[in-house]
Amino acid sequence: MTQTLESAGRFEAVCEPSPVTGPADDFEAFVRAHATDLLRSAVLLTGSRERGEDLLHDTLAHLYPRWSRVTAADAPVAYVRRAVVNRFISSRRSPSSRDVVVWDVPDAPAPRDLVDAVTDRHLLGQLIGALPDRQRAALMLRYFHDLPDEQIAEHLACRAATVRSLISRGLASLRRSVPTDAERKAERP
Amino acid sequence: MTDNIERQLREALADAAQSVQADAATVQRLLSARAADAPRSRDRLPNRRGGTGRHAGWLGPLLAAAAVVLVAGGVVAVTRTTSGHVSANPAPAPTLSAPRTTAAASASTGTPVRVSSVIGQGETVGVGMPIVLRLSPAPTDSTAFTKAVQVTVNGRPAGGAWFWEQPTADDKKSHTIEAHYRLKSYWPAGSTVRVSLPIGGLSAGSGMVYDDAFTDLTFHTGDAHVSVVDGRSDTMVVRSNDKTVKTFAVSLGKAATPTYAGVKVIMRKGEPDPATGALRSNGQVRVTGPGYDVLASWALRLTASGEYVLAAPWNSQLGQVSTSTGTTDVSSADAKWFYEFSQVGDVIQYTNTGGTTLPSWDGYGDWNVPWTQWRAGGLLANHG
Repeated sequence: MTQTLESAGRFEAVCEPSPVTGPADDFEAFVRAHATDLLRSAVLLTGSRERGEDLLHDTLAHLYPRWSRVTAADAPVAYVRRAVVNRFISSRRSPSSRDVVVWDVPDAPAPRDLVDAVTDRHLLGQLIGALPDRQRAALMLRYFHDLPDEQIAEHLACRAATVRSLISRGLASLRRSVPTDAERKAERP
Repeated sequence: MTDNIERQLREALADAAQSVQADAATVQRLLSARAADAPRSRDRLPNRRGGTGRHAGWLGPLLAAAAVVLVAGGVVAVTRTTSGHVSANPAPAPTLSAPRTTAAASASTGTPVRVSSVIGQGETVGVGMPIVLRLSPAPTDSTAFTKAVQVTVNGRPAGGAWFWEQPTADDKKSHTIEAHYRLKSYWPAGSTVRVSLPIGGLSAGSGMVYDDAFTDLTFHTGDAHVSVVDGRSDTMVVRSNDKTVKTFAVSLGKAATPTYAGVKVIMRKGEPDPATGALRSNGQVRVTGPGYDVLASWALRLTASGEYVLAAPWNSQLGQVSTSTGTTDVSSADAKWFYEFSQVGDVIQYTNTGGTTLPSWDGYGDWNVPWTQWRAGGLLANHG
């Protein structure tokens, strides 16, 4: 609610890109150095290699004309990662950009065995994919990048309290969907 | 705090990330982001969506080997995907880019015009909220823009019109112009409005082309809150989706400082404290004038010139006489209720206030411009 209010007034500063600056020589060095790292973030957000690569490519294309801002940032990699997250969230808000959701969480118990751990990971992957984008981004930033809530808040342009709420709601959905060990035992034929 | 789910999640994410490596081809593709004509993913979308029905499953490709076996038991119906990663050089589909290239051929270079929106992506606004785009430097010709930009309501063409104005002296100084879009009457309640702006590279007038950074805006409308304030009875009737939900006493501007008449749109709820940047509590705003400087609670801003609906515990003549400096004074209880009820973009119609009609440029005075005049386009004429 607060975010809506804060962004709604016409008196708020509207986020505009800075004037176009010349191409920077270090763009290539940066991409070579951090491609894998950034690609991982993008893939975890989008859920596929292909879309992750598209997302990162588009973000870089957007940042390139204003690359001096990236190099001027305290932590250029974090700056770019934040741009990736932003772009992901805003692009996904348009319904047409959304691929059809194909997650199909089972209502019948699945056969389980020694491979429980692996299936759970896979199942988790599916379940994360079904979470709202901001929850997913928050979970990724905490549990993959190990960022503190304040920094996650910066990525998502919200308050730290909102981050905690996104994460706890995300975890709650996952908990509801993933069977506990006890349930699993009970399910076993 | 760490429980099973958190540990599993960590492991799942780490596993998935582990298998992602940016190989040489990927790096090359990423480096191509430098080229102005680099294929952007949206240019390829028609190709991708073109009926192949391919949907990449989350982490599907990453855990493919394990997944195929384990999922077979029915854990999750993964996808119909075969989504191995496609090559680093996917063929761009010419369908989208071709017409753009043609249109931009005569104007592919020039000063870039930046576009931003007052309505945020995904926001929900009231039915009176105009789409407001801010463009800088100000285009001098809107022909290409109005032809290219599409607005739909729930997927159907909206049928509204763009109106160009420079609401403030600052806008003139900074060469900023606003393009406002509205329908003949308010948006339908509970709708999704989508604005598609394939304008990158199109001419914005001599020596100017639109930036391609802002291509798409989607927002929603909430319930239709259309309230009526009558200065003769000093009452406000609050209506939601054509039903009266509340009526309460108000006090408007006195004769020397009358409240504007006409249609107003709620611009903002409360205001941030300049010291901290956070919203003040209780919807407070600071209102100042000759002899007063107070923090008023539950304040909804209606005009750029400074009209509000606010809690006025100091006003003992609500419903009797209009005594304010132009604000709509309401009791604290009613103001709190109305504040919580309202959303940015809600409509309040003012009649019998003794004031002139709110001009189009003062806040969202858009609805006070007659439709025929609106359709003509304002500062930049609409053609066709």
